[in-house]
Amino acid sequence: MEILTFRLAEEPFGISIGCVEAIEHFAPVTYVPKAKEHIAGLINIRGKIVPAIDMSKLLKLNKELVWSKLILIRHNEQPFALMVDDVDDVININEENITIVSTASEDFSIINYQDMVITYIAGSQLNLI
Amino acid sequence: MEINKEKMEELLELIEELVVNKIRIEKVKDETKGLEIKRVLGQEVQIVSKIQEVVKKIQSESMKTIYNNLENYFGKKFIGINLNGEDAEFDNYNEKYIFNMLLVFIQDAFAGDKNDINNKVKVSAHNDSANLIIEILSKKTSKFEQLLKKHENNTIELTSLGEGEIDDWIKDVYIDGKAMNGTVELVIEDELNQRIIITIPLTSSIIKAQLVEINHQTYAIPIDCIEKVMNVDSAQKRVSGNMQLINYMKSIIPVIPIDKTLGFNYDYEISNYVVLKFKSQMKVLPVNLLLEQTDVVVRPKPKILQNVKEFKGMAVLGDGDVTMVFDIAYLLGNQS
Repeated sequence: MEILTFRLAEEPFGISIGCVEAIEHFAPVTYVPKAKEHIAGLINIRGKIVPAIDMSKLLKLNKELVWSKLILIRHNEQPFALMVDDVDDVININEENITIVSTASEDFSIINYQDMVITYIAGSQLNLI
Repeated sequence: MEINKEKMEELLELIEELVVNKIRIEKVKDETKGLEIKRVLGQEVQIVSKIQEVVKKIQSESMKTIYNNLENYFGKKFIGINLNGEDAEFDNYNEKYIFNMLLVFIQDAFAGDKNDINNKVKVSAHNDSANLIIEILSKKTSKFEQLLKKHENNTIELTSLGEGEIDDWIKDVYIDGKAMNGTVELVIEDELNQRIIITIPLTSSIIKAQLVEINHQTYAIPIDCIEKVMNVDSAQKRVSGNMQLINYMKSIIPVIPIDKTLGFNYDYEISNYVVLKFKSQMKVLPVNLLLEQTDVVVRPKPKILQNVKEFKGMAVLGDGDVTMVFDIAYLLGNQS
């Protein structure tokens, strides 16, 4: 399967290329009062208004990020712009390379790829949006 | 004249694109120095505005038409219906649906006896910036109570009822096997009376809006809902407990507490009070800057923002920024 890798606070993350529609430069975000904390606001992407997701808050990283790119995805038929530090590459992996790691509070998926450990953003995490 | 719904929706989408471009063109026109370019851009803006007006006339119908049809149907001797809001507008391809639905609800309210002059049915209609809203107030009927039992959240999504599973009571609102978009809300008014609220979205979402700045961000207020804008220095302010009030036209109007309503502290200087009006209710919105008035195309909120009731939708402005459009009916109905 193909994975798009990106960075949040220097850490590598990956998302299935199947849900990715485009990669855009960062754009001004309109704050929406009373929206959930991980919804940074709304972004105008070529005339379409898309909710921008603060991935640091969604994944509870609690780190200051330098947003430079937006990954436009479609999940459950809804468009979203994931705010990330940078986009790296598209890699090919076997599904066996994905390992589920359980902690006391949650499960998350890890990809062992060459000498890197990449945190895989699964559909279940996107459901939290 | 029969209007093809799909073609009309297609046309309206194109008009909306034109309006978004018109807003950008107006901005470019103001900034450009070339006289010839200014003239051409000015003409373009005028043409788009005229197209908007013409299409609105083709597309819209007023409740007066439906009220006249109801009067004809029930006959001139029928005096049990009190009709209000004949200027409220809707997309004219929905005329048959709306008439049928009103007929069904009114006939049920009279339980088949249209000459019972002791029974009164009140029908009122109005528009907010995105919908036609019709309210039918009458005595409770057994069918209303049956529907309440069937629909636990008291709201019926008209399109969610497929052909064959259509509730018998409202099957007449289906024409050629299709329902219009919208909802029917069932409200128990009091022990004796019921209120049915029909909400039908309007296809065109172009509205005239007043742009304002609150806490360093631009927001849009539908012009239709603005009673008056006053300078903060000229307003007669009052305080009652924790509530700020404004004295306006011999009425005391509450000021919307922005910090509680929008969930942020406002550390900015208020320059203007915008007196908002919806039906008979008025409240005051404090703003830190009054910006321009412009046409905006209101886009529906994405699913993940459906719980943010303070806003009806969002729009793209001439500079490409996104702005939130206030839901005045909600702001006025839910803030104390």
